[in-house]
Amino acid sequence: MRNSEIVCIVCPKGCRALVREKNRRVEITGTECARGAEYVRNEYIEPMRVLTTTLTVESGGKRRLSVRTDGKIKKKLLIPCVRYLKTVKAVPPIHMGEVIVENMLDTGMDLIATDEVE
Amino acid sequence: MIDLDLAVIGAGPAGLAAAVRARKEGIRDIVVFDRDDRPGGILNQCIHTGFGLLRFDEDLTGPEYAYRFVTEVNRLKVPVELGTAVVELAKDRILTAVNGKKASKYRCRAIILAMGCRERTRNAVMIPGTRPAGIFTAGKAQRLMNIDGYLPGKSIVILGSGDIGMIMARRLALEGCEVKAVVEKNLYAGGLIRNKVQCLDDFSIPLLLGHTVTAIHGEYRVEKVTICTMNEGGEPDERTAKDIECDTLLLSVGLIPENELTRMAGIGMDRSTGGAFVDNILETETEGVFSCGNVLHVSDIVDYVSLEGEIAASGAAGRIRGVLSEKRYGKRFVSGRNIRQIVPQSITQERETPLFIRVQEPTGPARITAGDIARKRVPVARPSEMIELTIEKKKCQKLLRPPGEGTIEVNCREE
Repeated sequence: MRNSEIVCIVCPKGCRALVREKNRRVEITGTECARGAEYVRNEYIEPMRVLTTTLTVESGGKRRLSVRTDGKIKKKLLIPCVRYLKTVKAVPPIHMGEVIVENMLDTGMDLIATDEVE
Repeated sequence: MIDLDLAVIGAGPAGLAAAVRARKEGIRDIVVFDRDDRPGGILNQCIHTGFGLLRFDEDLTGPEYAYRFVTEVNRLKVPVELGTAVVELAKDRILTAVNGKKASKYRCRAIILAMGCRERTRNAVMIPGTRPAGIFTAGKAQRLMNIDGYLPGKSIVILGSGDIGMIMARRLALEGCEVKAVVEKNLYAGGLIRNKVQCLDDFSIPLLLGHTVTAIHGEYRVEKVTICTMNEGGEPDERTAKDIECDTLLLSVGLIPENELTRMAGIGMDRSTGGAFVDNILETETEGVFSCGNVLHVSDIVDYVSLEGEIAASGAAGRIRGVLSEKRYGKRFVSGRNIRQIVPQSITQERETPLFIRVQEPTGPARITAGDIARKRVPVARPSEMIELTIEKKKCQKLLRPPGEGTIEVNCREE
């Protein structure tokens, strides 16, 4: 049996949910709406996040290029992805939304540019 | 002297939204001024997501949000004078703009103030100690990292749990820095809950509530800071002093609307917001001068800033075309129970009006009311989260007929 507390971030109310797991059944208490319960369940099973960071730009008018994953990736992969991205250089010209790394580290998500460099 | 219909001061989210709307309402002769070398303002360094949830129903980064407006400004061929600072604003809507080559005077039929805000510094919170390298405001550190590509330090303490402070905690942790603590003098986090969870909890960064930094140590570089708990009187308790070793202290201790030009022009200010006193078309007490975005009052989400830019632009377009009634006093809002600030501060025009309200103290479920013309229930109210309360157009009409002065009390009552 595992117990954990998760703060819901669906709305500003910030409900404190208690998750109990017993014989592979997940029980959630403390949320006040269905969306909150859904968020807490996902957060308990596998928390997912959008990664945003910057890349070195090889040449051109800017020193850094801001990037993000094109969707949520597993939270535990945030740090490994950032470490990997220290080896990646962006080569201008780069357009808004352009894919810089396809299926980054097998996360199933592309890394895309969130800015432009000429 | 150059004659101009509309000058927009600042090409951040407020100014860009204002420029787009003014053009769409048929104003031909517009110039947007910005002292930076690219449009977008602070959005360019805010590479995290969380922008545009209300406006676009999408979770965009700052540069992506700015890009949508910059694209519109370019498509509509609105001139943006970059690298140009407005250094003087006179009472009669004459402004002086300076760039690397020349100074120019413009006589404007309307002006939209959209200068944004700046960060409070160590001076504003008066932290004693030495003056070593390694002390930055959180936003300055954000610019150094995200635009210029420098890491401000390796071992970090952050004072203040405002959104920028928490977002920088995550940014630094992701880049491999050790963020030792976020220190907050209040008993609640200063920023949004989602930032507390996704920026601090995700990286096991301790949030020390009810604490403050009381001294900075280090001769050339920050070596450590002293922290204390706050006592009930709101003073640091020296008996609880303990040191945290670090090479960098970031300050996220509040934002100040940048109103030097507004004051120079003698425009009436509201002490509770630090911005101009405006009516419900965001016109200041000086006819033809409008204020929107963070220079009017510091917002917690950009979507509201863009909305204000548009309201101000519609008002300015009305003034330029001469379709608005003469500037007059209408009904003023006054802060009642647990209300810190209200924008706009008065109603003079018959139009649907979003009121932006901040409470004084956090509460549970509460009812927000504006006299008997608008009400709303909220599950919680926190000083860090602005509450929007919309007043319908027909309520505004009822209020203003017959015209005359009067006050409307705004209250937040816990239920």
